[in-house]
Amino acid sequence: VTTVMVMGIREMARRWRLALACLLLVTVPVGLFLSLRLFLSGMRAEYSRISPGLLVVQTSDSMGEIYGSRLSPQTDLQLRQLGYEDPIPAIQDIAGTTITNSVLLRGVDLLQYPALDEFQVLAGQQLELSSQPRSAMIGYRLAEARGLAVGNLISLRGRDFTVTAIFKTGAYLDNQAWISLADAQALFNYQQDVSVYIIPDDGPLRAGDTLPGGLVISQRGEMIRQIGEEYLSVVNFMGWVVQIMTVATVAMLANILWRLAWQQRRELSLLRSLGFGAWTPGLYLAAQALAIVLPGSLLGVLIAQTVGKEVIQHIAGFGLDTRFEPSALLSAGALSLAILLLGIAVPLAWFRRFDLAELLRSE
Amino acid sequence: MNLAQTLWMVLSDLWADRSRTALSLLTLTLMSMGYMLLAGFAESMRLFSEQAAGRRDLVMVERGVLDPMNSKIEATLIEGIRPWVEGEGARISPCQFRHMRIEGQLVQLRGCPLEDWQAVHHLQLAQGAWPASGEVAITEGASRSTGWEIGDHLVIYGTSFTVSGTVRASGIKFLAVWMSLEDSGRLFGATDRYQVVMIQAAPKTDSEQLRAAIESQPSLAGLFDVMFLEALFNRYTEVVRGLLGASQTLALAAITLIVLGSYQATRLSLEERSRSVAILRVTGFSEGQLHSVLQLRSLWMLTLAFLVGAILATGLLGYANHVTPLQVQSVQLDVRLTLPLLLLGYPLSLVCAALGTWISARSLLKQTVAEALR
Repeated sequence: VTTVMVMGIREMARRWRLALACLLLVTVPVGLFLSLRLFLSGMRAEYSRISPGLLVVQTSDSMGEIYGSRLSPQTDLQLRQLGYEDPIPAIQDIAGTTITNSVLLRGVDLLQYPALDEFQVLAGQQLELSSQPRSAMIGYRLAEARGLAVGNLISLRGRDFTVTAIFKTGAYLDNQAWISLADAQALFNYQQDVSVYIIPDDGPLRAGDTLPGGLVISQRGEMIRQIGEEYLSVVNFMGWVVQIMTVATVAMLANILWRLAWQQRRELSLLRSLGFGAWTPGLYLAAQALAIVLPGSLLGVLIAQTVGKEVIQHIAGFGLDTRFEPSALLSAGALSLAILLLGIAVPLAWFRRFDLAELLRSE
Repeated sequence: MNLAQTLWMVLSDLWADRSRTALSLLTLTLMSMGYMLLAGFAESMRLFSEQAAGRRDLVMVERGVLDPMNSKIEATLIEGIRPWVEGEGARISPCQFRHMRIEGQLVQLRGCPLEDWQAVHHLQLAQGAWPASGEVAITEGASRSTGWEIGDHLVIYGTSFTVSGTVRASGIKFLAVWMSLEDSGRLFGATDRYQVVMIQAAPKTDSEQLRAAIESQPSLAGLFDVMFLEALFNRYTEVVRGLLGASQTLALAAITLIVLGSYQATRLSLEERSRSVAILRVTGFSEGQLHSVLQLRSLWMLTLAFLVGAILATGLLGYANHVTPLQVQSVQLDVRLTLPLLLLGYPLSLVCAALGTWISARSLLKQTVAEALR
């Protein structure tokens, strides 16, 4: 086994330029595939957090969990009449005039907001009832993007707010700024209105129900999940490119292995006549394929980890937490294996067409 | 040896090793396809992000809002400036604008005066009829993306509307549902409030001057931005700029892969034919002539691969646009291979192929004839 494998690798090393060309090609589908998986897993982790026990009351057909919904205090009364003791109000909107200067903003009920989303305060003091007006907690990604620290000022719709804390949730919320409900009402000129009410999922209302006045009930997080899914069509499209590049890589690998094996056909047939098994050509090809596919795939992983991650941060608009899941690495491994096996299959099938005598006569 | 003889020699050579040629062609075809898909994608992004609008089309939105949906313009304000604006020969068209989920699809809802749809909003009726009260029209993109057809009923904000026709809009292919301003005012219970106001300057008016004059109207009190429609598009499409840059880079990267494909195709051939090449040199072929033959061989293969790739990519994109249309932010991106893309891609591919061939041939042709014959 070792002799055949060493022979295969040595032959490939002699043609290192060809091997390098194919190795670089292997890098492309593997790197692209892993980058897409990184993007998908990032989107799923940050945009698919459904809060199972919570419902959102919002204006029908709006994107209330981001912006666009506006409810009067009448809704609060309606909900209380239905038996909900303490509907949690929130304002969700976007401050800014362009995508680059926009901030996802949330006006929170200072008493109840810690119960809605788990967050970790990385620096400073979280918002409390005693917090000064015009105080803001900002997500760590927003802080990084704007270069802000606790004590700095952040301008929201032309008004300065003091950053009192920087938090981390591990979700898209890390791009948000949280201010008190009263500040948000003043900022957006809402008077006593709010964007949404959040209620527990243990009352008479269910996701999908409607209320008079054009209100709809939905599962908390569902809207964000749907928005994240809007990018799926782009991922699917890129998936086709990955498939095409995979087949191109297989064809190139097969071509190289086939022609190298053809040049070595006499040596291989001699080995077989010396007692090496019928598996010799397969092993020879596998060693050469491995010498190309393994480093090519590792380079692909490295490229996804560096270039892919950087590109994803730009295309997602807001930052995404990208990290390899074991399943992504396993899938990339399966893709590499598929390239390797299919690349071997063509030359091997061709090799098997000849008997030993025919191969020995070939010189 | 004349050109015809050289061509014949190249074709015979390719045919003699047809299995290897087929695999090399497959590699080059798929690489070309990869470039074409990515370039088509990048082009659709570019067209989307660099959307041009008529230089006469102005739009007014509330100052400081990101999405026009959040803008509020009171009808009294518009009626206040209408006589003056129309006195300048311009047309003014107030509209209600929302992003909504209709039947589970995120689309734009635009309520504008019916009489302005063609003249101000540049809509053309593609199929069916212009809507009457209780009816809506949908853009072709919305129809394709959602499967809604003429005669379908859409429940919008709790009220059922019938689709009377499909419309074609110049500019960005938003997935949009259009209804009359009267209907949208009734639907949202806001007949006295708009989100955007379109203003179309008269043909010979200085649009920039008109824009500045409207914006500085005392009654608007500096609360509104009046901008060219193109500027609003640019603001809206900023979100895809990152995607545009990434797709353009990927398309460029894909085409450079042809260097690798061409390199391996030539290298494999030369390695196996070192004796044949040496004999050619003995019979008087110079290194330059051999390079030319190899370049011609590479050009043939690349041209064939590019043509086949273009046909396959066109078919695949047609299928993709039909079955799984690309959609970003309620905008349908029509990914197509355009002639300029092919005209740019072909010479670029040729350069890459020539480079790959030259690199692979260079070292092998540097051998002496004696070395090659051994």
